[in-house]
Amino acid sequence: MQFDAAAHVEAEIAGWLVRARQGDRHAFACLVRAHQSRVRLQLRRLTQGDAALADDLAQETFVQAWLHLADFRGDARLATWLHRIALTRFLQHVRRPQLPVEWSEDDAGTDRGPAHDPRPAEGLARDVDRALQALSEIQRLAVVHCFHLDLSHAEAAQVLGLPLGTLKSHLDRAKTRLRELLGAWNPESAT
Amino acid sequence: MNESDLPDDKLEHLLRASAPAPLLDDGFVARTMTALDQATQAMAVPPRPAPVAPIAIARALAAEHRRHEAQARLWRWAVAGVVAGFVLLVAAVALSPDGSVTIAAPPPQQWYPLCLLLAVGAVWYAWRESRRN
Repeated sequence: MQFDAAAHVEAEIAGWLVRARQGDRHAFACLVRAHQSRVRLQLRRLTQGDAALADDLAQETFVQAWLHLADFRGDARLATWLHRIALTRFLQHVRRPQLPVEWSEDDAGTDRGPAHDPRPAEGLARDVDRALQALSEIQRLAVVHCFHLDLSHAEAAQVLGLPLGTLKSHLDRAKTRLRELLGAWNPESAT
Repeated sequence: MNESDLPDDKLEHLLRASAPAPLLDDGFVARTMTALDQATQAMAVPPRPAPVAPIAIARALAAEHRRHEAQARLWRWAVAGVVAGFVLLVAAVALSPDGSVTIAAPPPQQWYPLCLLLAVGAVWYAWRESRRN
């Protein structure tokens, strides 16, 4: 049943996409409505919780997408393409050519401002957020794209501009670190 | 891996469960569509002027040619008038009984009608030229 719902949503998005490519603004507005949350969440994570900046960049992302909709070949999901544009816009904003791919000790554990989660800090969300702060930026982004934005490994690699093997390697290292940091959430350890 | 460490599937479940709640629209779509309209208008190329038809170019050239012809004709008549006046003067002197001519300027009051006539003619000519342009 869940699969049917997902397939229905994808079919609906495909229909809007076809109409948007023919210049239908209403169809594009539907696409924006369907993807705004995930793109804004991605950018809030990238901007370290700066919601206003994230929304501005998200707006620019969708404007770019509209202007270059003809360039979207459909090889990937539209969401993946939008996430890639959002990341590029963010890197342009901070004037960085690409994400730091290598691990840096200085990169982890620094004060990164308020948490991006709009919900009040609850137990699990708060602990995971704190644990994520202990990772390098690229590891944190790999985790966020794979588990929070629900992208496949291949899609996350495409968005972050990494080879698939490199992404998996970052994910493995991140999970090793997170296992230690979130050990208290293991019900077996309490017994 | 320690015993207290999380198994892989449990960790992944925790990470997925800690995902932020979806964000509400809060006018984001409307603002984005407004920005999109502005960007589209900013990028719109101004319409190019329609190309001039060859027949229109030919008509304009012909009209220009006619104006030049009229000016040249006017100049030729002016030169001819001056030459004719000089010839008339010479003839009058040659035909006079004592072979001389007396030129007497009339008093200023008698010039007024001629000045008025010249002024009216100049205004009329200027009006005609302004209408032509």
